[in-house]
Amino acid sequence: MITNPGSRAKATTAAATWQVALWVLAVSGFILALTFVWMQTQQIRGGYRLSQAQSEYHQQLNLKRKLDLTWAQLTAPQRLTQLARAQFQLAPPKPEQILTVGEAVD
Amino acid sequence: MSNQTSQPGSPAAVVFPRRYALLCALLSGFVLVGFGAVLHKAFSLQVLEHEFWLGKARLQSETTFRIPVYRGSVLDRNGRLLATSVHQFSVFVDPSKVPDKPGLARKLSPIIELPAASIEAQTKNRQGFTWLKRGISDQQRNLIERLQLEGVQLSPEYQRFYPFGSLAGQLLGFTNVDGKGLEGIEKLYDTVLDKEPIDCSQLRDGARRRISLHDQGSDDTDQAGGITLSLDAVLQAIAERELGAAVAAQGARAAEAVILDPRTMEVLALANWPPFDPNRYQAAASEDWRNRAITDLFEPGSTFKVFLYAAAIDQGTVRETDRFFCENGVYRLARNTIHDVHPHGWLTVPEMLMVSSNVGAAKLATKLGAGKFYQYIQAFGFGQKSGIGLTGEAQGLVRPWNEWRPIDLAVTGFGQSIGITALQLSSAVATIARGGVWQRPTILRRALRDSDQAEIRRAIQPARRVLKASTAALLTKWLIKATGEGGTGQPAVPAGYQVAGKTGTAQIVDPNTGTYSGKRYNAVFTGFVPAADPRLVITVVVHEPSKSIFGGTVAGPVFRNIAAEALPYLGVAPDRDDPNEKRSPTRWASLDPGAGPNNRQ
Repeated sequence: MITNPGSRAKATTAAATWQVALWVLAVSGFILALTFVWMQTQQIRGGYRLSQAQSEYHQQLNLKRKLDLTWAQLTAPQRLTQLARAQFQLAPPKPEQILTVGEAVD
Repeated sequence: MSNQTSQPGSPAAVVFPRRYALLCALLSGFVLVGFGAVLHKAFSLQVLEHEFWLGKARLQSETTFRIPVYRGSVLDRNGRLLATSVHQFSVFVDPSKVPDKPGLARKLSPIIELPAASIEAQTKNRQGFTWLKRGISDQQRNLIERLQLEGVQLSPEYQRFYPFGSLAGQLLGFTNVDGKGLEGIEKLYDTVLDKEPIDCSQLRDGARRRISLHDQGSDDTDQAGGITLSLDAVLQAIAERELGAAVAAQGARAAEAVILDPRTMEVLALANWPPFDPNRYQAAASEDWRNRAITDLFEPGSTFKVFLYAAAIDQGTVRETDRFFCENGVYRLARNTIHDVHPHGWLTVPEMLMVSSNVGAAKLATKLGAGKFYQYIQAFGFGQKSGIGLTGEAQGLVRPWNEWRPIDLAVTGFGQSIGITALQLSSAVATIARGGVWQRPTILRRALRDSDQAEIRRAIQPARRVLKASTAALLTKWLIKATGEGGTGQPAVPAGYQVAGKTGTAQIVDPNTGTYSGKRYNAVFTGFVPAADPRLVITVVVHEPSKSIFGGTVAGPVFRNIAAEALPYLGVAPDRDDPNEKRSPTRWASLDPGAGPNNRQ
C-alpha cells in the first residue's frame, strides 16, 4: 500500500489539534466551574456583610435619632432662656442696646 | 464457559450468543427506563410542581418580616425638632415561664420603676403574654438584659417624643402607643406622618443568620419623612412664658395668644395656658389637651369695634371728621342701657375708637345697618372656620343678620352677642395689616418628602380683598392713636416700636342666670407691630382675670412683652424716631464693656 507522508503528517497534526482543543476546553470548563463556585461563595459572603451593614445602619440611624432628640431637649428655648437668665444673668436687649450694622453711633 | 469459537487462520470473528444479546437489550432497557423515570420526576418537580416546591424551599431558607417605619418628625420653621420617634424597648413577661414571681417582681421593680406588688399581680393571675412596661430607656434595657430573667423578654417598638415638653403641646397633639395620631397636628397630618411598615424577605442560613442575596427593595425605615410647621419655637416659648406670667400675676383662669406673620399669614405661635405636655398625655386632664386658641369661643368686646369702623369707613357711612354724641356714657336703646367706662360727649370717629366708646359704636352700627355690617363680619372670616385645618376648630357664633333686633345690632358693634376664636380675631386684624386683603392662616410650611407636597399645596387658597387699601391705611392710623397718648391700648406699646391695636374687655355670660356677669371678664388685646411695616399680628386673650379686668392693663402688657422680645429676635430694629421714647444722652453707654449691669447682653 502506498502512503503519502504529507497526508499522514496532516492527520497527525489534526489529531494533535483536536487533543489540544479538548484540553483547552476541559481546562476552561474547570476554570469556569471554579470561578462560578468562587463567585457563589463571594455572593454569600457579600450577603452576610450586607445584612450586617444593614443591621448596623439601622442601629446607627436609631442612635442618630436619639442624639437628635437629646440635642433638641438640651437646646429647648425654655431651657436656654432659663439658663441664660439664671446662670449668666442675661436678658433681652433694650431698644437702646440694639445697633444696626453700619449705623453711626451718636 | 464461553460458547465463543474461532476458526484458526481466519480473522477473529466474534459471535454473540442470543442470551448475551438479550441481556444487553434488557440492561439497555432498564437504563432507558431509569433515565426516563429520572427525567419524568425532574420534569414533575421543576415544571409541574414548581410552585409547591419553591414555596417549601423558601419556607426553609427565606424569612419574611415587617419593618416598622419611623413616624415622620415634626419640625418648626427653623428645623428645630418638635416631635420625633425613636426605637425603644418594651418589656413583657410570660407568667407561665417565671419560676419565682415574687423574686422577679423584686428585681424588676427598681429598674422599671413600678411597685413590686403591681408586677407580681400582673404575673400571678395571668397566663401567656403580659406587658410590664412599654417604652423603657436604654439603661433600663441594659439592666434587664444583664439580669437574664426567665420568662421576661424585650420587644423593640417605636416611641414618640416631644423634646420641648409642653411647648406647643396642644397644637402638636399626641399619638397613642401604636403610633396613631390622636390629637392636634399628629392627627391632622397622620396620613403624611404615618407610613405602612415595609415587608422584607431575606435568606437565612442554618444558624438563622440573615443573608442579603437579592434586591429586596428599600428597607429605609426613615422614609416617612415628616413635616415642617410655620411655628417658631422661640416665639412660642416667649408667648407661653408671658401668658404664664400674666395668668399668675392676674389670678386668671386661662389664657391664649396667637402670633401671625401678616405677610404670609403663617402662624408663628399658638400658645395656651395652662400648658400641656404631650409626653405625658395620659396623666393630663382631657380639658388641658384643648387648643383654646381655635376651639374656645369668647365675645371679643371692644376689639370687635375695629371691624365695625372698618365697615363703616369702607362703605362711606362715616368720614374721619364726622362727630357723634356719646350721651355722656349712658345710652338707652329700647329697654336696654349701654354704658361707657368713662362718660364722653361729642367725639369724632377716630376719637370714639381711641377711647373705645360703646355708645359711639352702638350708634355707628345702627347707622351702618345690620345687612352691611353682617356682610363685613363674614368677609373678615367670622362665623366660619379659619381654614387652618386643625382638628376641633370652632366656626364661631354669628347669628344671621335678619334675626338681629336693633339692640343686637348695637351690641354687636362693640363685640357682644357674637362668639369668635383668637385665631379668627388674629386673621381679621391681619387683614387690616395686609392693606385690606384677607387670607387663610396656615400652620404647615412643607412636607419633608416631595411626594407629600401635593397634599399640602391643595390647602392654599387665594386671598380676597375685604377692604379698600385706603380704608386699611386710615384704620391703621386710628389704631395707632388707640395705643398712643390717651388711648386704652397704651400699655401694649413696647419701647421703640409703634403699635396699631385695640383693647377689649368683654363680660362673660353667666350660664346660671343667662345674663352678663358683673364679675367675670375676658381681657383682650389684638394688634400689629411695627404699625408702618407689620411683621407680627399678636392677639392675647386672658380669661377671667381676678385682679384687673381691662384688656389694656391685663392683655396689653402681655402683647408688649411678647413684641419687645420677638421683634429683635426677628431682626426688626426699634424705631430710632420713636415718639414714645426720648433719646437719652447715655443711650449707648451700656454697649461699653463694664458700663452697666446689662453689658453681657
